[in-house]
Formats: sequence, structure tokens, C-alpha cells
Amino acid sequence: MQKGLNIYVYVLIMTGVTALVLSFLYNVLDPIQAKNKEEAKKKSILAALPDGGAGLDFDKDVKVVVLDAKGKVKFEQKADTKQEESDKLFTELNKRGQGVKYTKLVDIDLALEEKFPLDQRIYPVYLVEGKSSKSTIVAVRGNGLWDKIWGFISLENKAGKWAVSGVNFEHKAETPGLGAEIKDSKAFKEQFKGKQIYDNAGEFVSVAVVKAPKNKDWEVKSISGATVTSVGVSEMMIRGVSFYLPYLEKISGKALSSK
Amino acid sequence: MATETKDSVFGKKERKLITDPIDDNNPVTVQVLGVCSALAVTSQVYPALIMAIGVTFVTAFANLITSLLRKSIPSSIRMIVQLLIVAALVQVVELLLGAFAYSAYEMLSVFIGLIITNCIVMGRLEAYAMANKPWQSFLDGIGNGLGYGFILIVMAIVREISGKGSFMGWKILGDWYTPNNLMVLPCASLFLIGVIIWLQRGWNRKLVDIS
Repeated sequence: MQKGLNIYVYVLIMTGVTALVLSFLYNVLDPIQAKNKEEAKKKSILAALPDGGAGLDFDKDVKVVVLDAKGKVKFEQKADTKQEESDKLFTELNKRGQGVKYTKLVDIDLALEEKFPLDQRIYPVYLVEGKSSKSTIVAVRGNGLWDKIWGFISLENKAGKWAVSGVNFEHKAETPGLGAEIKDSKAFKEQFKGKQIYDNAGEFVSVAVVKAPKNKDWEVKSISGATVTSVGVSEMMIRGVSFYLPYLEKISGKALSSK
Repeated sequence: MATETKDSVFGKKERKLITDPIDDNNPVTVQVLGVCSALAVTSQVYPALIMAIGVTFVTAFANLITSLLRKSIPSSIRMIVQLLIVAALVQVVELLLGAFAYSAYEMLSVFIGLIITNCIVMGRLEAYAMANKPWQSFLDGIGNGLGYGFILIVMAIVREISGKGSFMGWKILGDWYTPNNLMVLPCASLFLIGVIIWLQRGWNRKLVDIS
């Protein structure tokens, strides 16, 4: 009996000490990790730009627009937007629960939005005013072979026609050397540059990823050996980008009339 | 031998603790432990290097702590106590990487957590740390971590150069080189380990004579 008690005391002390040490370390290191994560995301968004976002500062050069589930503008960040205004948006968004707590505009993520029913989701758009061009970056998310894939698509309006100016894809668990090439292969991402998202008749086609591209204007070559991931990218490009079409048409209309 | 009971800080015995696991008693190629992670994280040199450092850290400190506690651990729950120590250290590694080596943290993702299932760690605790003094156990942990890391890095160098034409992310082979995609896949490390074991047995006759 005495011996059994000793074991319980031993286990209690061991777990207590371990828990203390770990919670202390977590408190010290977690804020640093959260910051790393945020920086990595900012970099990932800017990487969609044609020049990889060199020399741009996310906090200064990027304005975030939040769209509601119907594709209408819910919130628009401007140069003079005050913290209180975005805080009001976060309070409203955080009411939806599911443990999602936004405190910054860059926090808004389709991965978190997936927790909500379709009609409650919001979608981020990033407007980048570069030195030479104006880009609209949209966030898309879809399925790869093993897990989720997501990406940021940079779009530019050239004479009233929207075209892709650059892409950046990320993945959670695609096979290195095959599916993971959507992130690792520069050549694969390079193909998307300059592709139209409308065909010549004005129908939305997005950019299709196919084995043998026939139409150089809106088709790119898939990764051989990674068919499922390639199909996933293609599907993500169509479904993901099509959501933003009403918004894109709206802002392009504005841009044209102001000319 | 009588001399073995005398312990010095860094005598012959201590040096052997470090060098033995690198060749004669390598955890990967001789004991064939920890192969799972050796297959998974060796497609590039950088994550392999971080993984090697992480495992060395865990084996060294798990050995040290277990050895310090070895006389007090009740034998009926010793495995659970060892597991707790390893799990806590793995968590420490994960937190440190997330804070100070974020890109490696992303690349290794689930495999950091899986250090806990690396047989080398638990194997050394049971086989060595439970019966030896703290300093020797610490060195044994470092030696085994290095032995594991050495194989990992050799494999990663071969795989990254042949599979991607680069080293640590820098392109070293020109455009004339068509990367061999097979080398990036996990199966390539299986036959690479095989080749390494074969080469090692070629030069180290001791390993062949035992069996």
C-alpha cells in the first residue's frame, strides 16, 4: 500500500513539474511563433505578385478588402481607416464563435472560414499599389491529394480585361517532388503569368491546369505524376476565382469610368 | 575490465560513447532504428540538419534527466516516466523551432512531434541511461543523436543534389542537369540506406563478423 502511494506521489510531482516548465516555455515562445506565422503569411501573399513582392511592406502597401458570403464588400481598408473601425468588424466576426478570434486584418484566413457554414463566410482581397502596376490579390483554397492546398492569385486589369499576373501556391502535405511542386517549382508558377481568366467570347474560364495545353491564353501544363494535385489546383482556380468575379467586375467598372 | 569502473570527464570510455554510435554501433545502419524519419525528412539538407539537431537534443537531455532520476524512478512505471520526459523535451524542441527556425518548423511539421516515437530515444533510455551515470548518459545521447544525424545528412546531401540539383537550397548543378524526381520520393531513401549499410559493411569488417 505504501509503495502504491509512492508511485502516485511520484507521478503527480513529475507531471506537475513538466506541466509548469512547458507552460512557462509556451508563454514565452508562443507570441514569437505567432509573429513568425503572421510574417510568413504576409510574405506568402506578396509572393503572388509578378516580382515576388520585392521591396513591398505589407502593412503599408497592402489594403485589405473583406467580402461577405455573397461577394459584396463588407469592409474596405483605406489609408485613413482607424483601428476602431476594423475592431468593430472583428467583434462582429468573432461573434460567430468556433474559436475564431481575429485581431488583425491579416489574420483573416480561408482555413478558419471553413469552420463556418457557407453563408457566414468572409473572403479577403488584398489590393497592392506597386510602383508600376496595381494588383488585386485574391485568396483561394481547395483540395490536393493528401490534404488542403491554398494559394494567392494576383490579378491585373489590363484594358478592361482581367489577367493573372502571378500566383503563389501553398500546401499542407503534398508529396515532395510531385504534388509539392505546385509550391516548389518556379517554372510551374511562372506559367500562370499573363493568362486570361476569360476566353475570347468573354466566358469565365479561369486558368485550367491540363496535361496538354491547347490554348496558350488560359491553359497551363500540369505536373506529370501529380494528376490529383494538378486537378485540385485547376478546380481551385475555377471555383476560387469565380467567387470574386462580381467584385472584380465592380472595381474594373469603376476603374474604366474614371479614365 | 577493472579500468572501466573509474570514470573521468572525458577519458577513453567517454570518447568511445560519442564515436561508437557514429560507425560501429550506428543506430540507423547497424541497429536499424529511427528509419521512418530518416525516410521522411531527408529530401533536403536543411530540414535534415534541423531534425538531426532536434533528435540529438532530445536523446542527450532525455538520457541526462532519466539518468539523474534513475534511482528514484519506481520500476513499475519507468516506461511511463521515460515517455513523459521524452514528450516534454519534444514539445520544447517544437516550441523552440516555431519561435526561432520557423521555416524548418513548417518543413518538418508533423515529424517534430514524431521524434517521440523515434526508437533511438526510448532505446537509449532503457538500454543505457537507466543503468549509467548522468554525464556518461548525456554523452551516449549526444553520440547516438550524432550517429543518426550523420546518416540523415549524408542521405539528404545525396538526395538533394541528385533530386533537385541543389545544396541547402542553392542551385549548384546548372540547367544541363535534369533533376531525378525519384530521388525526392521517400522510397529513394530506402535503397540509399541499403547502399550505405552495404558500403559500411564493406569497410568495417567487425559488423560482418558478428553475424
